[in-house]
Amino acid sequence: MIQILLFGPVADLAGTRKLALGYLPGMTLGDALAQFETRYPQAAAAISFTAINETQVRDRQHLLADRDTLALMAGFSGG
Amino acid sequence: MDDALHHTSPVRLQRDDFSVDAELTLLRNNRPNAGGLACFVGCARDFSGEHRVQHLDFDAYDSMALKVLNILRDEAIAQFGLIDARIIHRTGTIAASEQIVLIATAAEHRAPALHACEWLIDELKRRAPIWKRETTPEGQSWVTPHP
Repeated sequence: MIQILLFGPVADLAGTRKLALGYLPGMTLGDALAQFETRYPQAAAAISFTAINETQVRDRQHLLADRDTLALMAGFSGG
Repeated sequence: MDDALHHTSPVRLQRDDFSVDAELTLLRNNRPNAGGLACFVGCARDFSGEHRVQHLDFDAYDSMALKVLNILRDEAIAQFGLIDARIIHRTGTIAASEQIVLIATAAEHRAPALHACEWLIDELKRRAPIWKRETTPEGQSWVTPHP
C-alpha cells in the first residue's frame, strides 16, 4: 500500500488530505501520479513537487516501495 | 514533547504566537562571543493587491517542514560560520498584523548574521513545504509562490 498525503491547494482541490493506493512491484512515481491524475485531474494540475518519505523526488521513474508515503504538493508559499 | 522543552527548541512549527524577546534571549544565552544578532519577523499584511486581507491560514507538511528547517539551520551555521540560529514558523489561522515567522541568527560579527538571516528566509520560502491561504471579503485563495 502507498499512502498519499495532500496539503494546501492540492488537498482542497481533491477534497481530501489522505489517500491509499494499492502497491504493485515495479510501480514508479510516474505510475502513482498517473493514477492520481485520472481520479483528480484538477488537483493533479496544481502539483509542483513530490516527496517520498519526506524527501523530494523529481524522477518519475523512481521505484516506489510497499508502504512508502508519497506527498503531492503545490508550490510552497510559507513565510 | 514537554511544553517547556518544546518552546526552547531552536526550530519549531507552532500554532501559538512567539515572543521575539524570548527567542533573542535564548539565542544570546551564555554566548559572550556573539557580537552580532540579526532578526527577521514576517507579519501578516492586511492587504493583498487591491484586497483587504482578514486573515491567513497556513497549512504545512509538519514532519517534512521540520526536517527541512533543521537542514536549513545546519546549512546556515556551516555556510556563514554562525554561533547559532533559530527558526520559528506558525501554522493555522493568523490574523492581519500578527507575527508569522521568526528567523534569528547570532555570529561574532554583524555581516554573517545579517547575510545568514536573509539567506534563511529566502531558502525557507523556496524549500519548506508550507502553504498560505488568504481570506478577503471576496473569498479565499491560496497564495501563489513568489520570489
